[in-house]
Amino acid sequence: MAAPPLNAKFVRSHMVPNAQNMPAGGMGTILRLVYEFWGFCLHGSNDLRAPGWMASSQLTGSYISMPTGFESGSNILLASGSDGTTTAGSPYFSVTGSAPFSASYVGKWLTTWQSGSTSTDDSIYPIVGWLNSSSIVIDPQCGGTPPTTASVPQLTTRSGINYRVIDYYAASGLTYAAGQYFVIQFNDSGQVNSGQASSQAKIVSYNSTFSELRVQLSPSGSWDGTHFVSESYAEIAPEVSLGPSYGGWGIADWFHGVGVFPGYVTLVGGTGFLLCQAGGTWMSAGGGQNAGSFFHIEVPSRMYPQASDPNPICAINVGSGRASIQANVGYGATHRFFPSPYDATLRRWPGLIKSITGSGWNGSTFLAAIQSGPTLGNGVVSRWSLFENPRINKFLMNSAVMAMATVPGQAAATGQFSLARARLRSVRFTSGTYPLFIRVGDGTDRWIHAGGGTMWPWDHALVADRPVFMGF
Amino acid sequence: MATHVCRDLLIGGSNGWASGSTDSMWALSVFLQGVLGYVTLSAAGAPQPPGYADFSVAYYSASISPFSLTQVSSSIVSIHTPSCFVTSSGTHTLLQFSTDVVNLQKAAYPVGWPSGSGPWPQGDPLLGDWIALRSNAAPAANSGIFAVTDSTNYLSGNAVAIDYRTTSPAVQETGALLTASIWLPPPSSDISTAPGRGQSRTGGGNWALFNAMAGNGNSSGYQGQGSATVPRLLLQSPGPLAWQLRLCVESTPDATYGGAVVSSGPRLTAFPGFSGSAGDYPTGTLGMPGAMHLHVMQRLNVSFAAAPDYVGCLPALDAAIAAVTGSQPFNPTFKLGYRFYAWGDDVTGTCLVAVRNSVGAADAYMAFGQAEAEVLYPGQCAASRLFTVGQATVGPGLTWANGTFATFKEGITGLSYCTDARFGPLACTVSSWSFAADQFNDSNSIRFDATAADTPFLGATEVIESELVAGAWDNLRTPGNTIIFPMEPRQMGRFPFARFGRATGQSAWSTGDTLGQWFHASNGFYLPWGGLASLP
Repeated sequence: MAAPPLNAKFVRSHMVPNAQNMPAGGMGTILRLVYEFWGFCLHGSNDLRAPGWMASSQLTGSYISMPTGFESGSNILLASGSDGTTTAGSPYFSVTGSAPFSASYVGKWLTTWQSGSTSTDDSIYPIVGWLNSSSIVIDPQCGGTPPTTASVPQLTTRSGINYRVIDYYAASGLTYAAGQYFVIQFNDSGQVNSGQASSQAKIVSYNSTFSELRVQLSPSGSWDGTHFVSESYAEIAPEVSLGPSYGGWGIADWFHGVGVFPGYVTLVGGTGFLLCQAGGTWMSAGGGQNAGSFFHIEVPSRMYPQASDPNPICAINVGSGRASIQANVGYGATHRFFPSPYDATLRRWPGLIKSITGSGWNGSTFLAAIQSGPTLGNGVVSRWSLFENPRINKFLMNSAVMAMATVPGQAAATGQFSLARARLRSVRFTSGTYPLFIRVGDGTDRWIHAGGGTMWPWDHALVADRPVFMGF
Repeated sequence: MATHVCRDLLIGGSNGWASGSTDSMWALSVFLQGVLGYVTLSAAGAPQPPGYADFSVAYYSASISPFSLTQVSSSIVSIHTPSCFVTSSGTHTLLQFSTDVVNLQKAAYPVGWPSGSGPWPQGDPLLGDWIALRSNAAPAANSGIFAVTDSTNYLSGNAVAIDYRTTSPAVQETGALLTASIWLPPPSSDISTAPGRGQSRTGGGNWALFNAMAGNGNSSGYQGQGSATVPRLLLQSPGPLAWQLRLCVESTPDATYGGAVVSSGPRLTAFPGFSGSAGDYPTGTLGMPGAMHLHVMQRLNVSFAAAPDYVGCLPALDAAIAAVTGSQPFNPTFKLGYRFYAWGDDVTGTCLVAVRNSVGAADAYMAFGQAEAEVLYPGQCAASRLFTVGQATVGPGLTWANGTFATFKEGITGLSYCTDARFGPLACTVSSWSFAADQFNDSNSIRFDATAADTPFLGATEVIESELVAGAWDNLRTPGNTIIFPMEPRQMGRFPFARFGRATGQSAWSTGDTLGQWFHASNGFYLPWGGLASLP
């Protein structure tokens, strides 16, 4: 079946001005953002309190184990309603039948969504001004929709908008404990691959400082409220030393001590995928060394028959390692951790791409001297016009397919060989030597260079006053 | 569309007397005309390259006293007429002809030959002839070129036995007639020991005249055109895009300049294009429309000597020693034999041809035509939908390593054409699969991974498609050399026929899966197969 459109929505460079109890509070802020974006902006119903698309198959227990108040504590969820309106080009958010807003909400954040909408207006916005109890001013750039004639995101004209006012600083002050989690569910897996179960992913943080984000996958979606039933794939800990010269502090962490604020978080999600990138000096002791962390979960397009691979889902999780597709170990940011149904083992699956130079990367034409090792990531910009063909106005990008072969640092997967199990849908790859933030594509096929040769779904938006993909 | 497969035709016969490039050209032209439906437009050079008219088979009438023979017919099978069934007798595969299109009794017994005098006195009348078969029902098994091994023992059934080139039982077809055409083989591959077997070579099909092959003497330009005596054949492809194909055994000066291309460099080229005549394409002017063909040297009328940066722009088919002997008469001194395979699409005429080392040769492949599942762009010129890929040097064999002439084991290059008709040919690459990172060269390919085996997801060997990309190299001589082609990468579509798969654990030139649907040539390069056993 043809891959469905990505229908991506965004939280573009959410700025975290401060957090309590660092580094646990920083991780708490990130998890609270992911929860809000997934459960409401992407998949919210008209229920203003219950998030959408959380694990729903539980027999006992819950989809979540977080500190009391994490979801709807009165000091965190400050207000909510369903009567929001916006007007094209205007930064104002107003309500029509209530008066929920307080001047103290400035500095807090507004979540907006309409059930079933694909509008990129569904996002999380900083509240930057208070007009009256029915109207506030928000910064549209976090979400919004770039007009066809411009690139700076603006709000569009909508009414009947669901909204929630959230205090993430308060969320950071909760008492987090190692191993707390919530479990998201990809109800749209079947839109990607016929017959696929609603696969699930557990987002969890570990260690004594609550600084190590992990992802655990459940292809069949078997969460019963306390654990995954009949499948127990290893949790994906943050990788380190992903690239040869970027970040990584030798231990599996997203946060490494207490650094200097502000921090920045970008979220992108859509049909069958969710990615979260966080960066900035707030993530490391002394404010240095951080190279950006991210996780990216995806239901990829199945390439084998359904019976051979019923429920493919994969993920990558990088702690301060940048999205570089170069690698010392493990095939860089093009690999994904992928559960195998044949030996119930989670392994790192390297990404194969169609090499424009045949089977191998040639050592002269396509490599730059600034980095070592032949790889797509080392494209020589001076010989390549950004892989662009000006005659047809197209940009050559690669989508990766997941293969299983010998991977450095991983036990040989004898008997598990695979050439092309699944094609990644929500990421493209190109030369890593191109500048950050280059935006390419047209129609619904639009991407941004997040750095290191990795391109993520985008919509041509420009963010004017703060860094995107901080640390990359 | 059907993919027709020519399976393992012996070139050079048991004596190993193949002439190399010229024999490859002969076999390829038979496959293109007899199986895929190409039509000869024109030819040039001496010896004349093979066209169907050169391979007619004659009937004779006999006068016994005094003894004389008179030719009474010049053809026994039309190239386009369905004419035979595929049957078998014991272990022999037979082609049983319809008597209204070919009467083997008449071929074996000249008119007037006295009854009871036995068959044609000089032996097997069709022994060694090539029969090009086009099967719509079993194109991967029964299409191709087959040598006649016996045309005397099945006369009562109006049948001949053929070398079916497998140990598997014949895939019998008796419900609908197959299209067949009979061709004389090149002399060097002729297994018949009876030169007067009742057939005659007409036209210029005497391939013993290799000494005549020469360029036109213009050292500053492309020498394989005009008054050159190198063999050229211009064919019309069968598809709606209506492109032409120029086959040429390139001249020594064109192919071997200054050792830049080694002296044993490949020679047989196949360039698609338009507006050819008299065996050649027109010269063009950069920046001007016209001369829409992929032959860079001919379009610019330059030689490697005058423009050495263009070395690598004659992607070709040949084995190393084949090229050495390609410009010489076949000669027992130069033992050379190889095995010929071809895959062709009967809608567009797209073709991939491969040769396999047998006696003193090497493996090689060449492909040309249009991509499968084409990616089209508004306003693109017709020539930009064409490609040719082959060897720029000797030695790469059949593999997925593309590159330039000068890089070891990456000597497979290709050409396509700019989408803008004014700007001529540009590079074309078979884009195949690499690890995005840490794949320093072809030997690190996943094809050679130590764990490569059948995948548990399929319980079989897995093969995947590759893609043609135009405009991804700026020269074809040496990586980093002078930029002579525009860099304007464009996906063209799927590379035809071949698939990418594991090399580890697979023997070369053998079926790569239990069903025999794919044939592993070498290095993880797989081609469609008809389910029949491959010969070692």
